[in-house]
Amino acid sequence: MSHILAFLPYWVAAWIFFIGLYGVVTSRNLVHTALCVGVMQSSTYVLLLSIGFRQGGTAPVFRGIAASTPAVDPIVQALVLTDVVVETTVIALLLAIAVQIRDSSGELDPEKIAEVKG
Amino acid sequence: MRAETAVPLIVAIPLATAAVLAICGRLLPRWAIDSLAALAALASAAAAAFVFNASLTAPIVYWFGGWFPRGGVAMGISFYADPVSTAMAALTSMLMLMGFMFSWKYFEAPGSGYHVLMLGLGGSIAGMLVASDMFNLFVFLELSTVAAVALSGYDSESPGPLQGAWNFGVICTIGAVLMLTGTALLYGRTGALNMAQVGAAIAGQSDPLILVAFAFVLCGLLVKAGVVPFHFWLADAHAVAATPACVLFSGIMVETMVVASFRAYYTLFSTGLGAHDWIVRDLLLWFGAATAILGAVMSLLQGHIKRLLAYSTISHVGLVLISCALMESEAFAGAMLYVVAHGLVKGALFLSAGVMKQRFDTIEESELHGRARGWYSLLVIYVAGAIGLASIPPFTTAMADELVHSASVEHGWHWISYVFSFAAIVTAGAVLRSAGAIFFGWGPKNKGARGQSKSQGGESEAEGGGRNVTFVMQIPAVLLLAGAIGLSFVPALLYTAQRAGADFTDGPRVRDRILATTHAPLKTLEEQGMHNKDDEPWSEKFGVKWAAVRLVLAFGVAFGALGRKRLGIQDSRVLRAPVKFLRDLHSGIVPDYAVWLIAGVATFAATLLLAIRT
Repeated sequence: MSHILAFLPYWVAAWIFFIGLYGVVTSRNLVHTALCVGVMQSSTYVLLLSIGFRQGGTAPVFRGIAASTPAVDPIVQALVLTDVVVETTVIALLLAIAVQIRDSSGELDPEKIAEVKG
Repeated sequence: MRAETAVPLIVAIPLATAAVLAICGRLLPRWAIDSLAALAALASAAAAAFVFNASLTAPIVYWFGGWFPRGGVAMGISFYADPVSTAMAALTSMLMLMGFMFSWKYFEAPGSGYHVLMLGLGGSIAGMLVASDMFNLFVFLELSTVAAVALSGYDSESPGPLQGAWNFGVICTIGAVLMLTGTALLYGRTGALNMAQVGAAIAGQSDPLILVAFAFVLCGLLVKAGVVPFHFWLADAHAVAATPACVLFSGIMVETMVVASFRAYYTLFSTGLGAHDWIVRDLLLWFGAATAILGAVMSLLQGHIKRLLAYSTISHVGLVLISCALMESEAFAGAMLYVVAHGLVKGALFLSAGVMKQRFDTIEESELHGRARGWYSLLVIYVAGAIGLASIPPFTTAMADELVHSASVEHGWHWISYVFSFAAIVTAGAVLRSAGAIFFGWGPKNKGARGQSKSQGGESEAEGGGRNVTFVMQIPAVLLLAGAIGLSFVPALLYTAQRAGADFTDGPRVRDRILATTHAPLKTLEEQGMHNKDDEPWSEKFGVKWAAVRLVLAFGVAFGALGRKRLGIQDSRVLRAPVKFLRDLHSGIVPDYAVWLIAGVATFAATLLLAIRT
């Protein structure tokens, strides 16, 4: 049982990734697509944090505790933080484009705005 | 100044200038913004050239904040500058500079948004080239995507450009997520992010986790390289992006992704895969060949000039991928030479397309039909660009082509030369065909083309910008072409390329350099028992015989396409179905592209797993 639980975060990350992908593939609305991309991106947060997790570890702040105290990995936390910043920029940009598309053509359906093709 | 301190400047100068311009862009007059941006590009090019020169003795590892590795463990973050990465970075800066020269008259809009984005894109591309840390690579990848997506949506109010930007943004973000997932898996296995250290930790292992991570990292990068079946976004984005942005996209951005994926492969994965590297080679050769052929065919089917050029870029990226995937140092050297030469040629072609757009306010071949009659300066630039694409001497593309050709024949891969020639002939033929239609009015006029009625009447008043303006705009294109030709006369060019290629492909040596800070010098060719191609006669270096055949065939393709009606090709039953199939495939909507993307990744990962685990 504990074995399954140890791997649970990874399955969750994979599930989030694929549910986001499913959303992108079936999406018929640009805002919906952007949010699904956001869901896909969150799979990396879960994955990174679960990689850095240690059973019984404390927060990686070694003030007032022995340096040998088990702690979760601080590097992945820094990575996730950077990741969140980067991905938020992307989502903001995508949503801004969606707003522009809506303003100029009045449509949010990807098939109806597909002017360039072939 | 020591070369080591100049390494971060290659990346920092454009990014810092972008920040400065973003803050005080509104306060500065347009000429000040233009010159500041151009100066930044020039300074970054100078830094790259300076480091390139120094790295010819020994490649340089720069550790931020002086956090050198202790006992083979990377403590800090490093930049790795070798001749390949610095030459590419110098090319990035030069293309940026030409873009700024071109846009002097191209954009009327006030403010500095465009300059900020261009500098951001150039800086992040340079960052990807010198990054030797997986997470840095990811951050620069995303930064370049953000800047590039914003650039391709710039200067537009119509849905067309925004659709291209949208497709680009969504697909490349999915690619980046894949790449980060791969990086995370590697970190989970090794506890390291530095490429050299991860590579040292997984040496000799090829368990499924590492293979999956490898597939994710590689596919994530190849999505942005526009490799089939991840290539769909590329043509959409190029078709609609502003011209100077296209120069950076086609000239260096997509090629950088191939270079970065092979940096990761050699430094990180090559020893882990051990004797299985032939599977990776075969897989990538197939992906590359599909890319080269499909891109070439699609470019011939296009009537939109920028889209035509974009598909030709896809085709040429396929060629670069093939030559890298041979996993042979001379073919790799040829690939890198090809990237530089192709970047210059393709930049010139995009700039001349931009000049047409400026003057006639359209970029559709059917609308431009015969309208540029007698515009000889642009005709010469455009046709010269096409000849450069066909790898004809004295363009450096011919030298690069010959380098790959001789390396592949030596290893018994004869079909590679045919794929190369096919891509070169067909893409050059497509460009020549459009030249025939635009400058001479040859070939059938498409009746069903959009905006036909508009271009029929009032030809003279529809022209935006007089000849004086467009004359100035042609100068950067001429400079790029001169560069593409002049490069082949640089002394010891092939010798340098061979040495740089041999060093890049020597994974363990690169790893030692980064982790053990050995300052191992670049080996000479004599030490490696390689033959110096610079000693060969010019006709051998350029592969003149093949080049002549290519030239004739390229013109043949062009005239065949122009006379398609008379030859009965246009309405032939045999061709109609496959052409329609190909056009329908490129549907322009993200859901379809996402399916192709994931199918491609799944194919890659599954083949790798099956082939290695059984």
